[in-house]
Amino acid sequence: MDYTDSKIRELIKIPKKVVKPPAKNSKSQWMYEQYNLNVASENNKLYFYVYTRQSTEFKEDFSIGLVYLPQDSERIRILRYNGLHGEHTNPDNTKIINKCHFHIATENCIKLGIKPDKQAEIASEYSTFEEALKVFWKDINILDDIKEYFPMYYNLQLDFWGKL
Amino acid sequence: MMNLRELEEKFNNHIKFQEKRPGILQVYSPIYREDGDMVDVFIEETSENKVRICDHGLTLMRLSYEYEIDSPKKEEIFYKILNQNLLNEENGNIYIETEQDKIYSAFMQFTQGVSKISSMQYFKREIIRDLFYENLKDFVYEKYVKYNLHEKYYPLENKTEYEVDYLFDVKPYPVFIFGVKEEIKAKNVAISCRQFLIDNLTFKSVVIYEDLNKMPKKDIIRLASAVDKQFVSFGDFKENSEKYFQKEIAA
Repeated sequence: MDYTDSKIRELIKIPKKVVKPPAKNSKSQWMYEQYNLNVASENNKLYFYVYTRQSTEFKEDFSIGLVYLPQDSERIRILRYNGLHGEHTNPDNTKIINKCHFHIATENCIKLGIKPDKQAEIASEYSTFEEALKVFWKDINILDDIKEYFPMYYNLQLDFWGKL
Repeated sequence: MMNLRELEEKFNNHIKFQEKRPGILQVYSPIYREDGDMVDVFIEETSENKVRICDHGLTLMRLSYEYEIDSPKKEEIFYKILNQNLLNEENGNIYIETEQDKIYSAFMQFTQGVSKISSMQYFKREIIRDLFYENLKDFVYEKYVKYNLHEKYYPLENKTEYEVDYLFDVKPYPVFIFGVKEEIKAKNVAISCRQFLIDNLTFKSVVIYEDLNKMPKKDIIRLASAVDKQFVSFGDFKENSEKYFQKEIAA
């Protein structure tokens, strides 16, 4: 498939539904928490994989990604919301230093034969993992309620006194 | 007090240190991964003259975005890379300990080792030839989630000895998928499929050989009489399975 910037944006924005929910347990054998799920376009023609990773030691270091799974070619990661992990350098050598940022696949990177999502921009809409996941869920247009799949982050219970 | 002057000098001052947590310095060096993100390196003082260079588990976390170390074979490769690069690992934290006056060579050793680990996803295609089950799993998850995919399925209640690698829970019949790389697996699949028939299960069974030519003839014959469809190699499965499933599975 020839990926143009508009095609990539279209893949990101196309309405999606969850077809394989994440496991209830987020534990990995290593030092991060993880969830993996599969989503598809409403007509079941396009398939995607969504992952979340968060360091157990540095909670501000996380990544939430959208991977497109074409039926006729290799998978391609098209979007990734990252937390704070130090420094990032773009293909044009501009830097993002210790700020939340999102990676997006670009036609230019694909043509250059480098990592498709090497281009990153500063993210202003989130600063924590929970915020990032909520924004990501909305931005990639998953129609299901996020609380159904990630109740641990968003179903806050009020106690007897009405406090969170 | 850590002496990091050697690192600053060798990097011609193109290196910075920032406190990440008390006692943990994060290193900002001009060493990047393919995606443009900095390689994760932290330095901690362990005793008066010794330091630990480590990644606090972040190399394996980053790797897992595209490639999980989730099988004994992959773990074997991971630990081989660690050993070859004289690195250690504790719960996923990769580290090397050194005396302060040898910090530069240890730093380079560390970054070289974690870079190799970060590239493990390429090994499956280019270097490692015997990751058949792992590659099959990747492929099935990549292409066939649409068929209501389940991994490790036990069709017979309380009989976990009869296992199906992957179930496509579809109509008109569920499809049982088995990867077969060696003789013992071929025997188990044949026994399982026969038992499913004895128990009156209705299903389609599909076997994918790593390489049919490497299997003993008697195992091939036994399997051929027990299952509905065989793909002679993983390449055959990749190339032709989509058409087969489209025909067998109701839209």
